[in-house]
Amino acid sequence: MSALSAIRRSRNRPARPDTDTSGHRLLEVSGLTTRFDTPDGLVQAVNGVDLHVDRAEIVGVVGESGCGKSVTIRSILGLVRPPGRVVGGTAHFNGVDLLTLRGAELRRLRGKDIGFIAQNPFSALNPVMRIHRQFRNIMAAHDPASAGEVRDRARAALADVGIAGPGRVLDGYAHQLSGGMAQRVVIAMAMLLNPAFVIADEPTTGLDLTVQRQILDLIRGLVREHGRSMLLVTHDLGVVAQYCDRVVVMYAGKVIEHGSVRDVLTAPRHPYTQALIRAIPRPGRPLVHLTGRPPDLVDYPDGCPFRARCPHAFEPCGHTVPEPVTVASGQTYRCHLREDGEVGL
Amino acid sequence: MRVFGYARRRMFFLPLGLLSVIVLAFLLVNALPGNPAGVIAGPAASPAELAGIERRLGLDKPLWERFTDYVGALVRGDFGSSYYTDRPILSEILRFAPATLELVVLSLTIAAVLGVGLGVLGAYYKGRSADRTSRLVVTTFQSIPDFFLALLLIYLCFYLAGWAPAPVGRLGLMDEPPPTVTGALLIDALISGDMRTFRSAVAHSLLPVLTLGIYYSAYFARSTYASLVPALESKQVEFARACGLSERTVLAYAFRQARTPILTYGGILLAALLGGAAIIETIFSWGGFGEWAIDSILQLDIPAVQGFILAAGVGTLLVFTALDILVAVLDPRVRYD
Ligand SMILES: Nc1ncnc2c1ncn2[C@@H]1O[C@H](COP(=O)(O)OP(=O)(O)O)[C@@H](O)[C@H]1O
Ligand SMILES: [Mg+2]
Repeated sequence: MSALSAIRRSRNRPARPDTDTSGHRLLEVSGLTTRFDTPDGLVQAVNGVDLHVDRAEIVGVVGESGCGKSVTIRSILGLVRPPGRVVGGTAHFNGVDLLTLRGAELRRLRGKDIGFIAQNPFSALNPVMRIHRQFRNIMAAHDPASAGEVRDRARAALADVGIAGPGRVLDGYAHQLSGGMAQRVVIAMAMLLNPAFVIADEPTTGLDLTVQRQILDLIRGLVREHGRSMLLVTHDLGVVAQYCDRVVVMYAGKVIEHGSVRDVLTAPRHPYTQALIRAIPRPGRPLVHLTGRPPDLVDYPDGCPFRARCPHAFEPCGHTVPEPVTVASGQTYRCHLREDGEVGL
Repeated sequence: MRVFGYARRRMFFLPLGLLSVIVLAFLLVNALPGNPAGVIAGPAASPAELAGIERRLGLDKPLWERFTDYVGALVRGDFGSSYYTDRPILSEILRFAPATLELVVLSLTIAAVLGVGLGVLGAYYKGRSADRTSRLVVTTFQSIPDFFLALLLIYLCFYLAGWAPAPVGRLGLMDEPPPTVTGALLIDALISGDMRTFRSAVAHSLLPVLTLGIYYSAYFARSTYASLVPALESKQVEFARACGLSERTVLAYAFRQARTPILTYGGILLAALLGGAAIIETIFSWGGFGEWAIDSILQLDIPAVQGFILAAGVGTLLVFTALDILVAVLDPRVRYD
């Protein structure tokens, strides 16, 4: 199925209201700012990111490589290590600001309330420890009394992700698995303790196309089935179109546009979003690659970070950071241009 | 079990390694400059006396014949006798090697505990004050030459403070050595049940073990740091943290990933020290293998030097084979390949 038909189909899905209905809100990130103090200078990786995830909602985060998607989720999970530091913002999860939690409190949430699906299973799984023992460690970290049920619970979790011979997988090592199988194991670990919220960071990178589809279908199934919510990081708008309810578009560590998938993909307002959509391969249409590169995050530009690559850049873009503009449906973008940028799908 | 299969395949190479060591031992010694006959006879010897000594030592035979004689004797368990003392080399090796083994094993244990501790501390608190402190300590340990450290410790702990006994050997001058069972003095003293001798042996081991332990801890610290830092920054550790594992468990995950290079480094140090602790052995009159080798080399005692090279080579071969098997036990990726 092409990305375009996925986008078309998403038009038929009812749009969620983007207004704050507090009881539904699971995660609310605002003003998140993370830097890395490196020998080359201060890397301004995440610059005032606002985003939210409601209950039973799948939110996509898209943007080119290096635009701060992974650092954003690492910041939310408290996984940023020196020389990186979260210098500002809040991340309320179930009403608790994750950024103010200390070690043990945060550890209790990680894995139990928030499941994390890593990008590459072979670098995420421990290569020198049997899979069974890795499951056991996760359970022991959250419930020391559960030692007796590790094997049953792990078997059940592996069966849930469609692994036919869970016993053999448990007794083996990661490198004995195929990429798709290994990613299923990672998903089983993320879902093991039944988290209400799942964060997936490009969960299918490096897998072949049919397996990518299977894995994404699997993740979506596990999320929808149990009324979970998910933040799905990807650089592929086709994936967003097919699997997400809302989308957040990031550029140079900022959210430059967000809204329902239907609105953003059919009527993108920001020239960067428009350029990303034009770059989706589609039959019967020439591919328009995005030229240029994202700005240097050490020497962060004044004004709009996209200015240097923007076909519409004009006078204010060089010195004034665009304020967010919200259109009727809740779609929000940060651009000085006011009229619709015609992309036409 | 696959580990056994791997071990068997690995041991298949042992005979080949052994042959190379024998050839090497022979060639190295026969390529050494200097004429042993001249040294033995002294500067005043006449050419006739010299020729007589050469004949007695077999030095007048061609190289090839000397080699076949050598290998033939080795097969019979005859490693030759010292040109000077006439004692059989094999029994000399068996007399001196246990002392060195004791010294090296104890020193490397201290070095590993101290060094891995320093390396873990530095790597875990990278960029913070614990890291800087650890690095300062390691740099200091490594920049003091081991013989100087030995003399410093003797000066401080024996001469000034009097905590340690004089560096006169394995035991005090008045101590009665225990009957030889294993050849390793500490163990033999323990077996004999003579606690006074055992305590004296421990006290006399203190400074040499500490010297080598401190000096080589720097190597362990550096290799631990170098392999643990990337392990702690790996995606694997990030995923472990994202699953809610405690910092202790996370560190254990990282260490599992980092231990193979540390272990390999330890094995290399062990092999190198089998003959390489000579200076420290000499300073403390340890009566070890390296000390014996240095004396033999200085006297051009060819059978002894050959015996030393052979024994050190075989020791190295065994250490590396054991190391490879151990690595395979610890890392499933190696043994399943
Ligand atoms: N440990 C780090 N040290 C320095 N810079 C980092 C570090 N981790 C990430 N960055 C920088 O932060 C920026 C955002 O990276 P990331 O969030 O990984 O991008 P992506 O959107 O591809 O996931 C990049 O410019 C990257 O170089
Ligand atoms: Mg990323």
